[in-house]
Amino acid sequence: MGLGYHPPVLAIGPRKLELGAFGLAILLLLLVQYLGYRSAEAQVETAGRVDHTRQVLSELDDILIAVLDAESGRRGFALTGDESLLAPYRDAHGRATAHLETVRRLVADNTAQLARLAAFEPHVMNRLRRLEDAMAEQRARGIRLPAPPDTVAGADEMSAVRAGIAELAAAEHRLLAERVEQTRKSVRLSRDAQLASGTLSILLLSLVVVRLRRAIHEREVSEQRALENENDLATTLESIGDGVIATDAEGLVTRINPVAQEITGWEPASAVGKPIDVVFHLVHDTTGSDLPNPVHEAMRKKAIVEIDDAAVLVAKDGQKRRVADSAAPIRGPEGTVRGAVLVFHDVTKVLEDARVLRRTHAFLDSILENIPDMVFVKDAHDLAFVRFNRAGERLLGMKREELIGKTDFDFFEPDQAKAFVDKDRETLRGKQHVDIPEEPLTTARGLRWLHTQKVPLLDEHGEPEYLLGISADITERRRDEFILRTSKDATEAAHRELEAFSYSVAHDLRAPLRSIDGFSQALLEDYADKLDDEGKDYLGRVRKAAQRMAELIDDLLALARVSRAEVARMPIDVSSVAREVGALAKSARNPKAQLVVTDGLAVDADPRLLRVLLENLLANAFKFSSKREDARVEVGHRVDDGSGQRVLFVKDNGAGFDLGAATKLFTAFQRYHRPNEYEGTGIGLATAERIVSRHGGRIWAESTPGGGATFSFILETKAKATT
Amino acid sequence: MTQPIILLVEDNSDDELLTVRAFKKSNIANEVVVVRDGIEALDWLFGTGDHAGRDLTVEPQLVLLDLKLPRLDGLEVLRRIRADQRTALLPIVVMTSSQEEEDVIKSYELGANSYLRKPVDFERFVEAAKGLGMYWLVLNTPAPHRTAKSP
Repeated sequence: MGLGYHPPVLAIGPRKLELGAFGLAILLLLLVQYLGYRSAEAQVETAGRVDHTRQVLSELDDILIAVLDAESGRRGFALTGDESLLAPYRDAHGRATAHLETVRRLVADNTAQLARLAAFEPHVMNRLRRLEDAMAEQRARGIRLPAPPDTVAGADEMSAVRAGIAELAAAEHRLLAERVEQTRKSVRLSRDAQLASGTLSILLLSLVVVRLRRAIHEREVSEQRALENENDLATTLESIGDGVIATDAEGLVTRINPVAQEITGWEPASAVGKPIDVVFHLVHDTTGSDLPNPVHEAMRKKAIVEIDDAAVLVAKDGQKRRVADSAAPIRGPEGTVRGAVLVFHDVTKVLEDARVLRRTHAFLDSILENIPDMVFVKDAHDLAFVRFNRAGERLLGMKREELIGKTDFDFFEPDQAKAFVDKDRETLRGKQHVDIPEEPLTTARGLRWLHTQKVPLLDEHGEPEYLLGISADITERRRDEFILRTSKDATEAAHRELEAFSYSVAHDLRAPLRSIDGFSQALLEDYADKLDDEGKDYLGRVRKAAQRMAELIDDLLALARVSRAEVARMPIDVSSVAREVGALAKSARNPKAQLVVTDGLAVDADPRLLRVLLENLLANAFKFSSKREDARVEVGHRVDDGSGQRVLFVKDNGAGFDLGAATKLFTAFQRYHRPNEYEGTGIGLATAERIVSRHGGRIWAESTPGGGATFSFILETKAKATT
Repeated sequence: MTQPIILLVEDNSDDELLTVRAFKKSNIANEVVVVRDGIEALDWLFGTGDHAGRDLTVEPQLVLLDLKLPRLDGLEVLRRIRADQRTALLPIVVMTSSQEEEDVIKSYELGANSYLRKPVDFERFVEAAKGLGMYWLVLNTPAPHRTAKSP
């Protein structure tokens, strides 16, 4: 439905009919009027006629009276001879004459009457003359007659006069009656005509009225419909999400919908009737100059006109908004322009959104471009490249323009390309992410290795639309890994060799030592008589040396083992281990010594390593206290003052040492005592230290020369509560 | 019945000599049969190879097995000895320089009866030999012979 509203068109025909009928009715009424007028006229004339007749009659009467008066006067004179009686006679005479004239005048229109009058008049005159004569004679004679001589003649005259009058009167009455009858007829005719006309007129008018009423009804209906349409229109306008402003042909605002109000800031009350340029004030985006409203152009061109792209709407409060849409002319039924309608919406947000979208695009593009790995997108159907990032260009040594639209087969070696395409198809078919840990790619720069991930990009129906590929160049990493692996292998090999060596050492080094010692002893035993003391001494030294070497080897092996071993922590009953190891060490070094082990010593440590630790510490403890008669070795625990942690210790009351001088106490082979004082390899404490440090703990010594030594150690990084 | 034999599987001639000497000094008078490597040990035990035709009724009362042997490793020899029904119950004492825990475990796993570390100090060696002899040859009751008895 356009904004131009065309009411339902009434048929033209009936209107002509109504007009005709109405016209006819009017004519008839006019006729009636005319007839009425005529009738009235006739009646007036009749009245006039009556009056005329009356007048005539009156005049005739007057004539008679005059004549009679004249007679009366004559008589009087005749009787009296009084001159004064002549006056009335004269008067009567005059009167009679006058009246005759009047009658003549009155009946002038009727020739018949005139004729009669002409016949009558002489009678009157004759009478009068006779009277005159009589009087004159009388005068002349001076007689007074008792009876007028002319009586008979006079009587005849009088009769003629009376007859004449009567005739005239009668004729007049007749005429009147005729006239009256005529009038009556005419009036009757008129009345009938009037009746007829009137009736017909009424009928016609009724017809017209009926038709008019119907037309009115139809008009009302269509008006109602128009109103409804108007309401619909109004509601539509109210509900339209766009702003709508309608103007008349002069460009004055006729309506403005709520959205338009909101955008322009104009209320209907103030907007309606104002020029569109005021209500919808457009300025140029950059220059700020006023722009003509498209409404004018639309009305002029009788076509839809778009709002200028660069147009900015200035709302009533001065706020500027970008708007878009168009103006269209409202055409009347004959193609005339009745006004215009402007439809628009605020695109500020749309433009803003578009801008944000562009920014987002740019941002995402930027991310894509700056990702150090190659990122490419292929079309799912022909696997032609549609997108390539900078890293990809660098990797391949090609510009993306060369790549877009082409496939792998256009650039890469056939078998490589096939491999790529196969994986592409696999990804797309399975609609799943495919990870290719390693694949070769020959580029202009040589062979590269890529770790590629292929991801299918599905459309809204879940069908593959594109293939996304991300390839990281792992050539370097692979090389490094290779190096690492080989070095690791080498290291492991070295380790194994070392282990093998250690193993061999145990056997192969010790065996000769055994021989040296054994045969030396054999010599001593079997050839004792052939050897002097010196010889025996030498052999003894040989033996000692061999044994010492064996010790060294053992200790070194132990140390190596400790360094290599894994630390498997578990709760250990230190007291029982200490007793066991202590007993062995005691019996080996100083059986007479006293061993005291506190009960309930416990620690979380590796059992084997702990054993070795205690072996070393206890061996030392017994060794260095072996010279004392009351040698005492104690294994116990205490709380460290500084850290508050629980500390285990091995204490002896042996030779002790000067702490200050023992800087390298825990260093391998560094011996404090001279070999002839106490034997030992100097590895024991190094081993102990290695064990403790592998547990992440701490070991230290406290000693005074001659005052024994206490070796304290913590095997845990955190203190454990004593259980 | 002859004196019980000690089979000494030892490749080192020095060690061999010393061991025999040690036994002597411990008053262990048993005959000591020496084989130089693992293959020979098996050959002797089963009467194959170089020792084909040996009277298999003559069984050792004690086998002293060194681990570090040429040709066939001591542990393998141990395994094979134990694998064969004829020799499965022979007392075998592993006598070796190695104190490696693995060796100890492996030896026991494969069925050694005892593990002895050869000391360098000869006197201790003699003591060990004495104890060894005392225990295995005198105190211990060996399993009955499995092979056919001699008439």
